[in-house]
Amino acid sequence: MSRLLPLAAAALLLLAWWGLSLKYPPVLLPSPLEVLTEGWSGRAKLLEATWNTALSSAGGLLIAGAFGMSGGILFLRSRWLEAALYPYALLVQTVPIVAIAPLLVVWLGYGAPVAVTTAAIVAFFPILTAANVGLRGVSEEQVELLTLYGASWWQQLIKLRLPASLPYLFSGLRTAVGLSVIGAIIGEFVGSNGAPPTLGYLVLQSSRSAQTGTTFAAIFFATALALAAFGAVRLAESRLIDPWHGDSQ
Amino acid sequence: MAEGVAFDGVAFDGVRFGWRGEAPLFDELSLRVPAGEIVAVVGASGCGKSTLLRLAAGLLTPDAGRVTAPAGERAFVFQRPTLLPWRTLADNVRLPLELAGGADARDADDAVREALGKVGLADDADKLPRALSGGMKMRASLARALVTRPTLMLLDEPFGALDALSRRALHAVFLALWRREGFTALLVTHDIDEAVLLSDRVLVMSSRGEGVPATLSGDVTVTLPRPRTRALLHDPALGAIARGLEEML
Repeated sequence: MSRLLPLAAAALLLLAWWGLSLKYPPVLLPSPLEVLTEGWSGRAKLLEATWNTALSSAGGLLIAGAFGMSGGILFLRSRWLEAALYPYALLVQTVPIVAIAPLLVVWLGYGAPVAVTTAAIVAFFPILTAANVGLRGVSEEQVELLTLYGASWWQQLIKLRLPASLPYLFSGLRTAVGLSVIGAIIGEFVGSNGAPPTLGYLVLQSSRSAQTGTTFAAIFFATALALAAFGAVRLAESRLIDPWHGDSQ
Repeated sequence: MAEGVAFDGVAFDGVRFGWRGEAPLFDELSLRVPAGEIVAVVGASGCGKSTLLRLAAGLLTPDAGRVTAPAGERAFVFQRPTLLPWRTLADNVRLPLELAGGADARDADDAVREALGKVGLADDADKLPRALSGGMKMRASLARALVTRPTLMLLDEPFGALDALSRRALHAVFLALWRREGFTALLVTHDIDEAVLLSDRVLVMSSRGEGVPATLSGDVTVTLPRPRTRALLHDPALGAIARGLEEML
């Protein structure tokens, strides 16, 4: 029964949407059927745009992962570095990405690099925080055990701290992966000229040219992309972590 | 004393130790653990028993005085099994060999198999810790301690968290291992009966209040014959020693 409730809620929402769409012109609110028709007829372009946005999100996530993990390891190595740099990492998180994006176009020009960079900026902080907490999330006894057997700092990192941090990292990744899609689309709003097509560009262009059906379709593709990316992270997590995580010693 | 043992024991000579900014936990502490003997340390919580073990393990350095340990490997068995949950039992037991490096892979496999066999876990080598009971995890922890063939075994309340049945089984396993391997053992425990059953001598550690260094207020030789079994727990001689120790506490 509880599994059917979300489906029932979706059906109700669709019904409400359809009801409202009867009251307003399609340029303001297209009906679900109109969105479906627009999505189907423009599927080739939408799929290509989704693929390009996915590549920018993935690129941004990879860069955020590399910098976030490196930052976590550096902070683990030196409390001084952490005290000096963490406030600036927080600053990266608080500066509005919409305000930075036009500046990135000035620096990087039109194209995917802007979207990759905005995706990386928004995905960076959750990964850094997860790495920072996760790499320290080991017990005193575990550290003593490795110390007793003469483990170097790097051996402790590789054999203990990195594997122990995986549950935290995946928790950060689940947040970061959705943000990376949002970040890429924001980057595309200002940094994409439609060649090749991207979801951000399609949303902006179609809404400007009153093709609201296409705007809705692009939004659905963006949502599907974020859900698929989240699902991929959750799948990797279930394979890598679930078999051993939660063991109480 | 176990047969065929010919190595030096553990010696604390005039040891002073205190946590930074705190009054010394020990001052002028001296004790001897002869090679091949099991010596138990009992005392109230917080009096410094675990710190004593960490000094013997070389995990802590005395502020003054000297701690000497037998030549060869030292092993530490913690109150919790301290297994790395992402590693199988065999990989957990292999950890000290990996960290030491230089061991041939086949020799390491043999050593791991042998150590697991000694604690009755030969058939569980490929299991993750999560799949095991508390008693089995503690057996694995003992196997990991044994794999380097230590001359000194330091045990920090290793049976304290187990149910009565598992504790009984682990006592037998530990005594059999000691007879076979002939290591020197320093055992911290809260359980006076356990201390008397397992050890050759029982040291009573006590502290006369905060800020006052802990001292060894009792040193009782256990004259019960070996090999020992749980049946001895009903022996009046064991009861008399245990009562004497309780009065010292």
